[in-house]
Amino acid sequence: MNIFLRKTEDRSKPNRRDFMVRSTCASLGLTSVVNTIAQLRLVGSAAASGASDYKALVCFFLNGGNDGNNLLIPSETSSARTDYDTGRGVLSIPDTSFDFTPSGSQAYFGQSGQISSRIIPQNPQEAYNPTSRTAGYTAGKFALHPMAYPIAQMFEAGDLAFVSNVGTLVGTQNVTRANFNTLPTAAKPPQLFSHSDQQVQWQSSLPDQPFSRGWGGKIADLLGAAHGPGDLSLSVSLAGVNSFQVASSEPAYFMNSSGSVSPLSGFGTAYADALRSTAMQPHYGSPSNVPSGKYSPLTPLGSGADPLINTNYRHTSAGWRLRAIEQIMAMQHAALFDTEYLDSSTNARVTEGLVGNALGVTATATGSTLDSHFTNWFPTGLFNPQLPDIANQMRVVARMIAGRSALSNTRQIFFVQLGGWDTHTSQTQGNNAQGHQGLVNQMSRAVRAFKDAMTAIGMWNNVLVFSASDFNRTFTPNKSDTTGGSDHGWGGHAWVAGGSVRGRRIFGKFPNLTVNGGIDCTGNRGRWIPNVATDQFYAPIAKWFGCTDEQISTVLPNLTRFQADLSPATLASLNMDFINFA
Amino acid sequence: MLLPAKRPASYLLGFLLIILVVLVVWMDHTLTSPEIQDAIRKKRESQPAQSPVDPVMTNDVQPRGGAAVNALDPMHQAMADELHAETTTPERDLEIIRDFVSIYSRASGGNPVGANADITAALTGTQYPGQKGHFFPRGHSAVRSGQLVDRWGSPYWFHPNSSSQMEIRSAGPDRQLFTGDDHVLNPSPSGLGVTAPAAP
Repeated sequence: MNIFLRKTEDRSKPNRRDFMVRSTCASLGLTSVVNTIAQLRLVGSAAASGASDYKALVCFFLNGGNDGNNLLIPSETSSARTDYDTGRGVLSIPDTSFDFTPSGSQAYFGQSGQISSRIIPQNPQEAYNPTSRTAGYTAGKFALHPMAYPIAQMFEAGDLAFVSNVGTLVGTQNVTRANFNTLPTAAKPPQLFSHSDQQVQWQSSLPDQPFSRGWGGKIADLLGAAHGPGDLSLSVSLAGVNSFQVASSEPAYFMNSSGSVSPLSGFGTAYADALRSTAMQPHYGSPSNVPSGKYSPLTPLGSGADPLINTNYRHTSAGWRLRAIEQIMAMQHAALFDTEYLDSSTNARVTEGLVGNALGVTATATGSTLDSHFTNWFPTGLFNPQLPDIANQMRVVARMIAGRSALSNTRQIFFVQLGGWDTHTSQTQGNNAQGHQGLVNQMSRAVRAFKDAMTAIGMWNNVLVFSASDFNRTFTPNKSDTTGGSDHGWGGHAWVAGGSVRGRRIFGKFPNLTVNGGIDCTGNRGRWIPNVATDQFYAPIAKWFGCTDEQISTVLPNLTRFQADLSPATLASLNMDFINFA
Repeated sequence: MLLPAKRPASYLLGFLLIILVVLVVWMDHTLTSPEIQDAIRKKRESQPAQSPVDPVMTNDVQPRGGAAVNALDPMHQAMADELHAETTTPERDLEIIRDFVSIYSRASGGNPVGANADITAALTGTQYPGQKGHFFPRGHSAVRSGQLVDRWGSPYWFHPNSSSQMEIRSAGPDRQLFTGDDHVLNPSPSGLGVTAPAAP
């Protein structure tokens, strides 16, 4: 169309304009090629990292903002304990309550006599490292919330550690109490103290950019090719949609916490109403490769054969419906949209079958079932129903790991969630199941039961569970009577558990518990400026999971704002060497 | 005569260049002419203050009386005057507070963060010494001990659920939060704030 500006119409003799147009097009093409090569390099490095081992990562999200100040608590005589009592007021948990003897409805299974939630970290001096923002606490002991004694025992056994004062940080400028209000907005995580914003930032670890993917989803994208040959995604959520697992090529698989996979709506469980033999369920894979206990509805019937009599379908209306649906699903379509829709349905049913097979593996080497470890820690009468939702979520995760061979994936990323942590009122009131103590009780028992289940099948060294939450809560109460609670804070304590965790230690830096000073970001409510960025908390976990340094820079691009690398020396100097990579 | 038919582009470019030169000369004359500049200055002086709905921070000025007061956008002042007025309902009070938060958000790129005292400091421009600009009158009767209070004197309760949704709660006549006579704007979703969690 540039006839006005051409000296000649002979295209075989390109002028400067032709050259520019063609070179620009070529450069655009080159850009995509370069990007593709970069992605291939990442995928290739994932493949090179090996796929013979199995590892599972579990994100245990505490929705609403856990009061970490009452999960990891200074105990006995210490300056930290003095600050704790001074600041917490009505929310303070007395030092005498960490040793207790359950009775009546609190007669916990497997425990007789006195129980203690006190812990003795092997590295109190590192946790109280008197640099930068710490108060110079030089000694002291800790305890966990009394209801957290199941994980206190894990801590003491070396299976669980704490990472202290973790939170969202941008990292472009150092945040202090002195500059908090004058710093540019871009230098602080946007919408601090807001639930959904902080949830997204915790689950993406990229507070200074619009959300696109979660850090778990990024890992799934990178490792999917090498570690996810099966039909099921690397990511499985037991708690619905979440930001952590949002991915571009490896979308999460969502399932409920009941542990059952509904084969097809309207046919009851296990096709009992539609199939002659419920042990013979349909399989939607290749007709020539039908697994044991399956038959292929895709196999064409013989000439003149009765579609109900000569197959596994019952001669009932349910059998007719199932057969009709499966015939529809076996149809060929000319339209791409119809084909894609059909493929989605078929794939969903195939995945359901895989997950159903995985969930069917419940026996352990010791003869017990995985479920028994959960009923042990959730005895009859303690909760109603006996297994609360979070216990069921962890139970299904345990069964998915036990049945991993049916799924073929050598990496799995699970997301479970316990809600209700937004304890603005009556925080210290409640019972086994309600209030902050009830939540701590559920969390601790679910984690402990999961640990026992994994130990029973010899997989504890192959799993890593970590906690995350919207934010910590204010150190000071919002009321002075027992109806008081706490409000939205910032940096808080996270725990990490697994066979590879260097347990019985407190990592990061325990905060200075002085309100209106120290690391209280603003005001006088005790909202701690984090010492550890979420990037720093997640990076060793990603490394343990099999990500290379190059992949970690993709997953957590802001990490280098906080530390140069993930070398053992760097992690040790930051008191962040909470994983044994050997 | 054959040249223009084969090479019209050169003439077209030349014509456009002439137009460009004329435009440059005209703009230079317009911007430097004393008469035109004087007319623009007079027009600016005769205009009223900035549009009240434009969320731009106002700066402290020296008043006629000599005492330091804060010049506030007239629209913001009118909104503040309506707060706690006898003809205003408690629900309208909450809406006014929400509107001030919204104005701050549009001007600053995000809601003020923190609890009541932090939000009050942000709206009144008292977050740090020497802070310029504010949206809410610092001497308003609704500001007590650095907090925005309701018409019964209890601090409003702010609960940020997201960047676009913030519950604002008044303790009501009994001055006790989270009781039946509370007035609530934008209640929190289930499981957050004091809204009961949904059944699993």
